Amino acid sequence: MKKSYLYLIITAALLFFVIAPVWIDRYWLQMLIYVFWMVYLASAWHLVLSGGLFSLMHGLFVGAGAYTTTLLWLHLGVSPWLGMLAGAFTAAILAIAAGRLILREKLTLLAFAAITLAFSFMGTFVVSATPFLGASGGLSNSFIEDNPWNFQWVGDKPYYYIILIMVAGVLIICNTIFRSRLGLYLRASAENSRAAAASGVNIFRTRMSILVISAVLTSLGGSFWTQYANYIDPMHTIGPITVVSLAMLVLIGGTGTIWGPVLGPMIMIPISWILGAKLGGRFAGIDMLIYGFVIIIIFRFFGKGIIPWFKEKYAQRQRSP
Amino acid sequence: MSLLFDPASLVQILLLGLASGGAYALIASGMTLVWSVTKQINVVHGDFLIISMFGCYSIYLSLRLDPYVAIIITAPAMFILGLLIFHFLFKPIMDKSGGLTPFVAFLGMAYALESLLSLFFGADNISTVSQFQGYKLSLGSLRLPVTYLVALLVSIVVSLGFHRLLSGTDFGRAVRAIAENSAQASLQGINVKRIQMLVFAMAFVLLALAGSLLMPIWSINAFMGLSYTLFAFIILAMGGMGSFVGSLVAAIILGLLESYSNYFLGPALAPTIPYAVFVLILLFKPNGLFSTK
Repeated sequence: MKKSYLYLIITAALLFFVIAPVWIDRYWLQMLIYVFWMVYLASAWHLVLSGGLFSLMHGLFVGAGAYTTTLLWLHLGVSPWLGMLAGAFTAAILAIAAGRLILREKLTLLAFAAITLAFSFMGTFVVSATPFLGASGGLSNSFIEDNPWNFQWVGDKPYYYIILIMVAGVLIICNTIFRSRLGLYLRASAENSRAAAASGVNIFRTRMSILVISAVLTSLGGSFWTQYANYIDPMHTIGPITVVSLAMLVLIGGTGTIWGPVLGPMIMIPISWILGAKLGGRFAGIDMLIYGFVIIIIFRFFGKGIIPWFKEKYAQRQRSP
Repeated sequence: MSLLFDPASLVQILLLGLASGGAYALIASGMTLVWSVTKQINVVHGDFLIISMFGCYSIYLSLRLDPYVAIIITAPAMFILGLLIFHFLFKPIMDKSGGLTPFVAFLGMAYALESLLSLFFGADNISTVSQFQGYKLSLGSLRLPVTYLVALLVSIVVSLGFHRLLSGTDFGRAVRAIAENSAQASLQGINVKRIQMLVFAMAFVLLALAGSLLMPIWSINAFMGLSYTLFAFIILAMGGMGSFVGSLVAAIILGLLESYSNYFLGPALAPTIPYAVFVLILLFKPNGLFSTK
């Protein structure tokens, strides 16, 4: 009974978002593209969190995708579709190198967060100091013509449908992983890694696999964004600020379910966007002030996130007659 | 080459590095205190440093008081602010949700604070002139800015004072008992919430102190808070979470590394070195230099 309702809601939402571009204007379409991009990245990031790793280095993977695609396009004229694959490959190598170094039993959750944070800072500084990578000013993508092979369109609609398909893809991947043996191992190693290891789970291999999968997915998101925005810079792409707000969105939605990372950005980004539109011009700063308070209120009210809160309420109602 | 091995400039770099290390220590030690009694990273730590510095700035603008003198106003104000924030925001969120959620919830507050500051003061960089800013101490060929020396001296004195407070007084014993096991401490009749609240407010006083010392040295803007929080977090992880001595040593190491790499590598690549060394140290000592475990 409950399950069929869920499917009904999902189908309705999907239909709504597929036909939405027909009537909404350019401004809201751009917001939706941003929302879905964040949903995509949040879902990819949440994969790693489900294995008990609080990674702040995902900016490096966004950067791997974005920079590889843009550099190949600018210097060699390689189609961004192929650049995307090259970017994914770069991200996978980065993830394997980082994983070999820091996926250790002894590192606590906080130490892992701190080290990945340091990686993110180092990446930002190195890119900012390298003229070939555009230094701190960043790289601009050259727009040539409206051509699908070049991943370039004049309007926003094609980008919208691409990111929508990417979100659907990442959700199917997350769902498959969470239902698979790997998902089981992930939950086990997140809950109690010592007990999991004792019962025969190879923690290192489990975490390494999920790190690489997540890095590849994240880099595809980076490649998408550089094609859509036509501009990347080290501060916002590689630096920790984006990942930190991503983590916040995931925790607002709730962890441990594939819908948490979907709900977080879908609720919070429109709020910040609307506040910015209504108040940002006249009183710059007030919009972020209110946004900040909304975040605090949500956490004071919902505690562990929106979806876990509803699940708990539902369970309580089932129990009490 | 002669520049590279000029002993006078090497000593000068050493002292400048020690001074910024001392300032980092003041910032990080407040965070260490809060961590040890609440087991939470205070994400708005850096923002309140910036707030205390903007406080100095407004006092300077309105009353023409030197940042060093402004401490008599900012320290009590920050103490009260700390008590209020702990009681009305930090504690309720901490009780309601476990794990990493408080860490992230306070990001919301960091956003709010940064926008509040930019509402009042704009987004531009500001700096204040201290009476002492122009003075330089000359020792032979060495020329040291007095402001840096003051920062170094005060941070040493404060660290020693805190060490004394934590090891020698009843209050310190209560703090250490809570740090070890807060449930057990509560059973022994220690009012855990009160001590946590006091410690939180004391960390804010330390921030007021650091703000006054750094105001003549740094120029700041409304959006810098979070990066100082992240930097302090790295100092904590490097020194060993909750270790007061550890964060002092880590802060000094990072300050020195920053100062030397700035001299030898230039300002573009220099910032990577402290982070690289931090990663190396954590790989060999996963719990930090002075871990309690």
